[in-house]
Amino acid sequence: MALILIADDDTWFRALLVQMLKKEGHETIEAADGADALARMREQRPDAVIMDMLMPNMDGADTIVEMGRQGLDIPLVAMSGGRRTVTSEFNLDSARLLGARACLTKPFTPVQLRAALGDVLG
Amino acid sequence: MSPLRNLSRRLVERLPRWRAAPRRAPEAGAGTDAGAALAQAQLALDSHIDRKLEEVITDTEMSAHAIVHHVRQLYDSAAAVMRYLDSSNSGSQQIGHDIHASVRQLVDVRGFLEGLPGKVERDQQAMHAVSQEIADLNAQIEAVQSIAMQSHLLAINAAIEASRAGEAGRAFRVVADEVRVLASNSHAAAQNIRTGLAHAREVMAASVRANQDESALQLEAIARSRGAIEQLEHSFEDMTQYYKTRFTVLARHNEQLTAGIADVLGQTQFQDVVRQLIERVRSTIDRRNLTVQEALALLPDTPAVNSQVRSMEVLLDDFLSQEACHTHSARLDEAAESDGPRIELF
Repeated sequence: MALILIADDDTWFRALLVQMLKKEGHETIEAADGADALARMREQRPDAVIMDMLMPNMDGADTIVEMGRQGLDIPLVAMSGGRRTVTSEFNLDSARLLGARACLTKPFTPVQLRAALGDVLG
Repeated sequence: MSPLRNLSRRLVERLPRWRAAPRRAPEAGAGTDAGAALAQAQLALDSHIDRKLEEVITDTEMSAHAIVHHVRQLYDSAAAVMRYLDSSNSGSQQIGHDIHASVRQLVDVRGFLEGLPGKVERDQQAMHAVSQEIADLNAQIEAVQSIAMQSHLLAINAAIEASRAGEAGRAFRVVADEVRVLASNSHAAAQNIRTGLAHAREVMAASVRANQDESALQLEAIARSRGAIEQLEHSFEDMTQYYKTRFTVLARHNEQLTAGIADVLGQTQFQDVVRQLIERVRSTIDRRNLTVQEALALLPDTPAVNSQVRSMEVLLDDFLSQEACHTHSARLDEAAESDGPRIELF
């Protein structure tokens, strides 16, 4: 069992992830954007972070860079649904280059989520 | 064990005994020759070793300077990119603000366009209402004409009755005539109004028909414009996000690259420390050789010493033939002339 931070501006998708992770026996905390996520990381030191790359205020890329600057070395799973130009492939490639350890293209199945978390939690 | 270290070990092993031996002036004869031969062999070897060390120092120094020079260029280049990215960041932030302002304006235009179909429909309804009012007015005109006709008939009857009354009805006949003129005028005016209204109605109907056709085209154009603006809005947002993400990744990697190069630069400075160490070793060896040569001059001419002289000569030959295979300076020159970077294992 691990403490997982879910960072996504989509309330419905966060609720879905909470449900999926609780079924796997994990505890969850939530954040609606990058700044909120960083605050939660500093306060609660989760075991892993699952983060959407497209969020308002502070997006995923900025958040990952800021995690590095603040020394928040927490395993990260990046996820993205993508749009026409900023496709999920583009977002996830960027996330990998910045240091995300696993990536998920939205929508994904509980099996894919479990595999990604397995990769980062070991 | 390498020949050089072996020789050193053997010389060092001998040194205490030589120092312990009573110092006497070299005697004329074979003993002095043997010592001199050994000293000469050792000097020859040291001279070659020294030349090699000199080469190593020169190569190390040149190589270190070249590495520092190239790494510094890389560092300067990375720092320039970093500064460029920093200034691009503020520029792109400004462009981002401008794009957001443009998007807000587009959203306003889209809102206006979204309201247009309702307005067109309201205008059409108003025109229909005006057309209906005109139709209603026609009925009123018919009523006015009917009143005028009745007034006219009434005036004729009044005139007839005034004639019957003779002189007493003369004044009444004047009134009846005036009423008849008034009725005639009313009828003519009503007729004019009817004609005018009919014309206005025709114009209005034609306008409504034309407007309906035009409105259909306008509504289509508005729908297309709304779609285009919505797409433009998304494109702006996507473009901003796309370049922002690319910029973030580039900036982060360049930051790491700059830090890495600075670290390499720092490490390369130790090449100079190596050079300084070798120079100190050379100086110490020179001083030691003076002492060793003095000791060698005192050696007696024995088979063992002669064997050492031969060993020393073999050692020198071995060293020279080995070093002939390791012309590092030549390889450095070749590497400098080649186009691409070259890695050599020493």
